Amino acid sequence: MMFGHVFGQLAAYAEGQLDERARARVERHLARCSECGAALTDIQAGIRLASSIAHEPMPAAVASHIRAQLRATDVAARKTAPWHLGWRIAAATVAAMVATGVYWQINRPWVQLHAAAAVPNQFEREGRALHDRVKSGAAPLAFRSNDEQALWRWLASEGAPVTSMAITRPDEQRSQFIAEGAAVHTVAGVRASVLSYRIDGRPVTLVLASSRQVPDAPPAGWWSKRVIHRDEPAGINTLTWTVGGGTYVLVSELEGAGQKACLICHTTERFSDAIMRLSKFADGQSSVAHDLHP
Amino acid sequence: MPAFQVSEQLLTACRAGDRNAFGELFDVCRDRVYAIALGISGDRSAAADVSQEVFMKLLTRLPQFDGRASFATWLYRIVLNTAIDHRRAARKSVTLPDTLADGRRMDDDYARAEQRARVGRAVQALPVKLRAPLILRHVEGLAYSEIAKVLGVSAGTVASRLSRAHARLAQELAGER
Repeated sequence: MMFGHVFGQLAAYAEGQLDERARARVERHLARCSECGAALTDIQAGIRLASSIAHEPMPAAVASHIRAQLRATDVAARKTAPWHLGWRIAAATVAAMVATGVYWQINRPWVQLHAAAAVPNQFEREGRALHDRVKSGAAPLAFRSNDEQALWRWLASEGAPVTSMAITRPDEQRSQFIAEGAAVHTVAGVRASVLSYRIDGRPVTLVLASSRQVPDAPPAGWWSKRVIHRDEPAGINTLTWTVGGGTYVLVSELEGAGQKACLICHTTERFSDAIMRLSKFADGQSSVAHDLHP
Repeated sequence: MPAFQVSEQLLTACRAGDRNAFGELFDVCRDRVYAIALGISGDRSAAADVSQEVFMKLLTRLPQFDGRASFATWLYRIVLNTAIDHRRAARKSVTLPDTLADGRRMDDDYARAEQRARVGRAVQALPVKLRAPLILRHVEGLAYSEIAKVLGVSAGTVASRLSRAHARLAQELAGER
């Protein structure tokens, strides 16, 4: 009977809670609608009746009782506060552990250098061979530039794998790290990015592919960045590792384990200093761990 | 009821654990809390229980009050929710009391006291969805827009519910007009 029309607005109308426009609309409707007019009469009567609802203050005895309870509870709350604090500390600890775990998995602040104990897999073998072919010109560099960032941008534009690291070469390294060019080649059946450098005047080749596609990609290592080092009598070092979804082969003719070539990507001082301490790597030692975040 | 004002200074002191400040806050709020609890529950004993529970909640929850809503709106919500929960938990038909009659005014004539009692019973017979805005409107004197904030609905919904509540009240008490 009463739903529809302007029924929903009648209480607001009767109590002066409508703005001018809404009030005028209701009044126009009321002028021609007896049903809503009758409803308004009911509602006005209801308002009069409801206005007789008394506002009863809290009885003094009740107030006194609650006040006493609050005083007692206040003390109890203070006593139990350490529990709440304990839960908060526990939650913060768990959150910190999770954050550390995520950070650790992404950044691998420790690196472990393993002397290669097994025959190289196909990706390492072909990556190593590609170094010789780039050096001889048999595998041409499709994009030549001395601008490192331009090389990465070109690779990205080709849809080839790229690092997410920011390459910002410190001035003091610029004369040592000379980028030569980039290319996209198929390595072990996988589309791979290839970067060619001369570091301290010696040729260096970095090959990068998606670890999901690389057959028998070396494991990433659970707690650390696990780098497999293989050296050859001719002084050629091959470093192979998997991290952040990419598998890398880095071939150089540099000293030590050739770890200076890692500074192609690790350009920040903090990382490069730690990596260079890997030069303490001793022959015959199967693995060395260094903190990359000293 | 006069406008409900609680100073930020008082709230800050309460949040800091100042027991005297909380006592002051209790004094400022207690009658409103009790009146709404009584309006929703329709029973003095239940209203006392609800009031105690509300202030216990205030004691523990006040540090979480973030000021996004006004303190009054926040408190009204706590009172309404506590009273509604309490009534549900009781799982018994509320004694139809004369609680909404003004028992303090002993000099009231009998007829007026009786009328208040009948209004109280009619209010208690309303579903809580209609009773809550009615109590906030007529016990606390809140504007429709303020009721909307407390109930978390639009002002139009409040207007519609109050239209239905008033109409039902009038129909229940047709002989009282």
